[in-house]
Amino acid sequence: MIDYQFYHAGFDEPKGPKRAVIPFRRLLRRLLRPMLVRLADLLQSLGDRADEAARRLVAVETRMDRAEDRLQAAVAFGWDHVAVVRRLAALEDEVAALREAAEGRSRAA
Amino acid sequence: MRVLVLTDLYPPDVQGGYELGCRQAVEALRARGHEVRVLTSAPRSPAPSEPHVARTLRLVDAWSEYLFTKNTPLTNHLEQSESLRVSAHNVHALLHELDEFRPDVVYVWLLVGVGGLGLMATLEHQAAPWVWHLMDDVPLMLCRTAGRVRSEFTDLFNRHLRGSYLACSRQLVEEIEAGGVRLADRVETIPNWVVGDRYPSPRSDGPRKRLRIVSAAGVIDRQLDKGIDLLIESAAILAARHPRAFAVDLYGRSADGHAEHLIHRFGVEDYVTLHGPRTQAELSEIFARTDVFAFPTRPREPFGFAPLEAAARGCVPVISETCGLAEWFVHGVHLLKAERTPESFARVFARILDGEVALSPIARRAASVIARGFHIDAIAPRIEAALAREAGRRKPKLGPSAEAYRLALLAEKLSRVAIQESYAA
Repeated sequence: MIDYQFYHAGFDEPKGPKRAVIPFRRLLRRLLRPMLVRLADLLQSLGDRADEAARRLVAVETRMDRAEDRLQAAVAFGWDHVAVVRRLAALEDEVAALREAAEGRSRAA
Repeated sequence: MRVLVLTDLYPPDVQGGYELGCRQAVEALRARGHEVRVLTSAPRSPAPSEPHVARTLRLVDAWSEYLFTKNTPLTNHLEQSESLRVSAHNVHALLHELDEFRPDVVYVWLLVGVGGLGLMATLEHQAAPWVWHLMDDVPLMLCRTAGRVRSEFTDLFNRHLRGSYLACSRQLVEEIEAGGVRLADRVETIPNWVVGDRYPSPRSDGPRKRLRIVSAAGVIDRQLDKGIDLLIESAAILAARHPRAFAVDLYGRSADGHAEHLIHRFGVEDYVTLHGPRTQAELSEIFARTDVFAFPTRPREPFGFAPLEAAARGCVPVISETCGLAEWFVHGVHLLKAERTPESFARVFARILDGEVALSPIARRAASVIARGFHIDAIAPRIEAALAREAGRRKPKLGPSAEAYRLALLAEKLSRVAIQESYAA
C-alpha cells in the first residue's frame, strides 16, 4: 500500500542534535500544506488509475489466453479437417479404381 | 533417369529420420531401375564404402554441441558460414559429380554442414534441374545467422533458386513461407512413409493387465522439445487416478539427464522407464507389443517417422493435435489427438483405461491405411514423377563449371574476411 501522505516523512523521533530541525520542518510543512495536500491527491488519483489499468491488463491477458486456447483448438480442428479431406480423396480414388476393375472384369466375362 | 542425390549425411552416419528417409528413397528409386548416385560427406565414424555413394563433401559437424560451446565466437561464426552458406571445397566436389555423372535431375535433401546455399547456387549456375525433399525448414536454416532468418539471404533465395519441392506437410510449407522463402506453386506435399513388411500384431480390447505406452526419439534432449518432459508429467497425473494400471517405456539417447531428473521429481519411477537407444528394427518389434505410441511433440514438428512405424504395427499413436502428422490422419479414426499439455495427454490415456476408447478398431484402420497409402512402394511413384517433371525443364546455364568454382572461392574468401574483420574492429 503506497502512503501518499509523503509530507509526514521525517517526523519519526530523531535522536540527539537532529531533534533541533523538527520545529523548522513543522513550520515548512504548515506553510506548504495546501500544495502538498493537492500533490498527494494528484498522486492518489494517478495511483488509482495505474491500479485500474493493471487490473484491466490482467483481465485482457486472461481473455487473450482463452482466445489463444480457442484459436489452437480451431487450428487443430482445421488440420483434422485437412486429414479428413485427404483420406476422402484417397478413398474416392480407390473406389473409382475398384469400379473400373470390376467393370473390366464384367466386360471380359 | 540418372539421379544425383545431394545430402549432408547418409547412413550409417545419421542424425535422425531425415537421413534414414533419404536412404529409403534412394533404395526405392534404384529398385525402380533408376541410376542413382549419392553425394554426401565423409562420415564422422568409419562406414563401409558403397559404389553408388561418394562421401567426398567436407562436413562442419553442426551437431557437436561440445565443439560449439568450446569454440571461440569467431570460430563459430566462420564455421556457421561454411556450414550454411558456402564451402568452395564442396562446390568443387559437386561440380565434379555434375560433370562426370551428368544427372538428369538432382534430388536434394538436408544441406546443413556442407555450405548448402553455395551448393544450391552451383546447381542454378550449372542449370541442373533439382527437386528438394523437405522434411524440415532447411531453406530457412540456410538463411539464419545467430538464430535469426536474414532477409538478405531469403531475397537471394527467392530471386535466383528455381526448382521444385516435395514437402512432408502443409504446415511445414506455411512455416517456410512465413519465414520469407517463397515455395509458391512449385511444391507438392508428400507424406513420410514406412518400408518393408509391416504386419500389425493382433489387438483386443478386453481387460488388459497394464496399458503399455511407448515413446521414442533419436535424442532425448530438452532443447529438441519432443515433449518427453510433458509425457513424464502426464504419467504422474495418470498414476494418481489409475495406480499400477500403465507403464511408459522411453527409448532414445538421453543427452542431458533432464528426463531422469523429472522421473525422480514426479516420483514415477515405478511407471516410467528409460531404455536407451534402439535400432529401427528393434523399435518395430517393440511397437508390435505395445498399445499406444505417445508423440507429444512441438507444434512445428514437420512429420516424424516413428508414429507411422508404430501405427503400422498396430500401436495406436496419441499425438499433439497440431503437428505435421496431424494433417494426414483423422482423430478417433486412425489415431488419437490431444492438446499439448500433460493434463490432456493424461485424459486420453485415462479414457483408454476406462474403456471409453477402443484401441483395436483404430489400430486396424491405421495399419490398413498405412500399408496402402503410406508405404514407400506407394510414395515412390510420386517421387519419381516429380523428378521426371523437373528433369524435363530446361534452364539456361550461366557459365562453365570453372567459373562456378571461381565464384565459390571468391564468396568463401570474402565471407571469411568480412567475418574476421568484424571481430577485429
